[in-house]
Amino acid sequence: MSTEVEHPETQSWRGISQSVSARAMSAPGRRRMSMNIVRGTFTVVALAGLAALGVYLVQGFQRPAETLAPVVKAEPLREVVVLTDGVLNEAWAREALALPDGIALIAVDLDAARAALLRTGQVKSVVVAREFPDTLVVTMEERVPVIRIMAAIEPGKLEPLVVSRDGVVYRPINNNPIMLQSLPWLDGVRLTRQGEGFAPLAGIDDVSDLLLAVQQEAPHLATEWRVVSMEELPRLVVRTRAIKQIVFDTINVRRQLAWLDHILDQEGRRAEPRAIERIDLSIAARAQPPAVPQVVVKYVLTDITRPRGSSRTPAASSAGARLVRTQSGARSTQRAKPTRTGL
Amino acid sequence: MVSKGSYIGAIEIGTSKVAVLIGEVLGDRRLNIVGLGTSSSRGVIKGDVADFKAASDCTHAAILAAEQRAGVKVDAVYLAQSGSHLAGFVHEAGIGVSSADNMVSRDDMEQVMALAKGKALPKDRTIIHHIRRPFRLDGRIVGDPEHLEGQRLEVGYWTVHGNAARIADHIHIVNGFTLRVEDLILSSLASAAIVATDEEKKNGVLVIDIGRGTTDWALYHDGYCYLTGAVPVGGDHITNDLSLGLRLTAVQADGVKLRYGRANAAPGASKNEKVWLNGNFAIGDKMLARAAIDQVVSARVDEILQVVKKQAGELIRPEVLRSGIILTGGTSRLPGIDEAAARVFGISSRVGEMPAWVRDDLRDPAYATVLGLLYYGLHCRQSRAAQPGRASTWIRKLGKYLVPA
Repeated sequence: MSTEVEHPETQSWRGISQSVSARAMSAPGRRRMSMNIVRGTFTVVALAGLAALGVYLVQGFQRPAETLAPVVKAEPLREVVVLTDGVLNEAWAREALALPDGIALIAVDLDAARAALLRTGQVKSVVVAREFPDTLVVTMEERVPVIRIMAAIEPGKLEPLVVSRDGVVYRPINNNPIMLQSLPWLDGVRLTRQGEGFAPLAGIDDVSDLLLAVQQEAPHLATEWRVVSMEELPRLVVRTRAIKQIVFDTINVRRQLAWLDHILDQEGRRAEPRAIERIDLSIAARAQPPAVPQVVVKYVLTDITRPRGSSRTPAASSAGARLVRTQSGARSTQRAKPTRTGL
Repeated sequence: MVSKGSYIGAIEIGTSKVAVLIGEVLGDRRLNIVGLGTSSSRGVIKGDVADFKAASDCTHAAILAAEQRAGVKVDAVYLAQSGSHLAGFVHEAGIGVSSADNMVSRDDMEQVMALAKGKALPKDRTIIHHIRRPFRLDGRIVGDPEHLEGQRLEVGYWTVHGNAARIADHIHIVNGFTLRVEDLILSSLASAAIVATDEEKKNGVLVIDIGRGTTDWALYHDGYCYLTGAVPVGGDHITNDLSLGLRLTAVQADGVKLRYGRANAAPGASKNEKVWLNGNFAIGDKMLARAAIDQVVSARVDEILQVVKKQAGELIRPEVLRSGIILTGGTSRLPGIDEAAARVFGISSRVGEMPAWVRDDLRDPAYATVLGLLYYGLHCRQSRAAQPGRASTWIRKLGKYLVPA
């Protein structure tokens, strides 16, 4: 039969397009087409992957050795580039690295160089890399001083050091002296030796938070702060030019600063401001609404027998009059008793 | 499913049913039927698509069923084509043999074949088949005239064509299931491929496939198909007449036709014999005169066969059709239809039988066309495999996998 039936070349039914149109699709047909597309796509991707792999392998085998990049000639180190977020510079880096003159770049021990740089407490992290032909690139992250501390790195030789937020005690390098002098001193901590320096101090982040808060919220107060003591942790005791003790808790420091600012402002408005010996803000810090926050302010005892206008004399804290201020603003002045009565 | 063979599909979108077969071709020589899917046809009237969506739905359901039964997916199918729009014509051509020694060459044959196929058609028509008739060399019929001596070489083609839009509708239904139509085959040729042997075709045979909506026929002589035709009447014609004559619904009339219908009333049958419409004595059940049923069925069958006889014309002669008439298709199950055909044509007739290799559930004459399509597909594969320069099987498989239908 197949020999007698022929299929016409022209004007044949084979000229009818057999492309699939949406009109002709049924649900099973659409499912089948989707599967065909998925299968086709998978096949094309697989073949393309195989082809790419083949080309890659062929090129790898055919690549002549002479087309490889020539070996870089070892050249002496000429430049040390320091990329930092702080104040350290190339001169310091060269000194810290203490590399011999004329050393070839390839001869620089990167691990040793990194360790040498990290010996400076101001360096928080560092990456040392060669940039051929003759440059050493030092990329650093530096510590920022939070507070000053007086200590002796070398026995018997006290010197001002600084403490970073993560508690590292180090000798500041290249920092602005004015900025350093504006930092308060840290007190009430015990330093422990570790290697050539000191072990990191715990809790400095609380101090840092308090100092940052006062610089942002009340910079006029920050300039008055002289010492921050960590002796009573979790309470921080600040000594200013005028007040011996301002007691902060480590939580809600911004609320406490607001209270402090308010109290000092109130006192400043008085015709005859009284000398304050101690302000305890820690109780207010921990007050939870609806409890009323309370601040204890202790004034310097004034000899009421002395005539008005006579100069005040600083008195011992145990002999002061107390003013107890509540949130309602009620005040009462009593003859001083040596004991504290916080309400 | 593990298999060493390839798969071919066959689809017949008929008026009564859609039949899909999937066959496994083993070694390009053996055919193993692995999947059958059928669904009742909707949206097809007398072989033409009247409701595209309905026809698509039932066709796709049948394809899906066949694929699930077979456990494989086919990419291309052979599609049967029928319908009243199909027509054919004979176009003959002759040339003088070119060589000085009058020996016919391959060029002569190709030239005369090209001339015989060169007739143009109207724009809305499309050719389905050029069916070659035997060569004639100086008037004598020859199978292969190459290297034979003669003066004039002639050949004729029976060209089958149809309405392009209606053929496209059938193809697009199949395309909607992301299948490609590998080949389009006349239903009559497909049926003849399965019910008529090569010997019968040489002796001359008329194969008539009577379906529900159409009757397709093909006339063979000397081993060649001389004529084909499609008549837009079939079993529905009988059902409609029963429905009108006996005042029955279409469903009842179809049931009566299948249960009591006889194409040739039995001699001596009692005129008073009655049969029950349903036989369950429920409301609406009634007695029908058997003679009335016989009369209607017989008349309509005669009518169908007369139309075929008229179309086939002068070739309906006992000396041309020495192997007689073979009836197939669903309506050929009517008892006595072979006798009716013998009476109408005056030529011995019989109901076609399936080859022995066809399994039992497919031996129904209603499956002749779709089985013939598979058989045709197998022959096409064999022909292509025999052609030189064909890509090897695994390359073809890879190509099919990469470019799905």
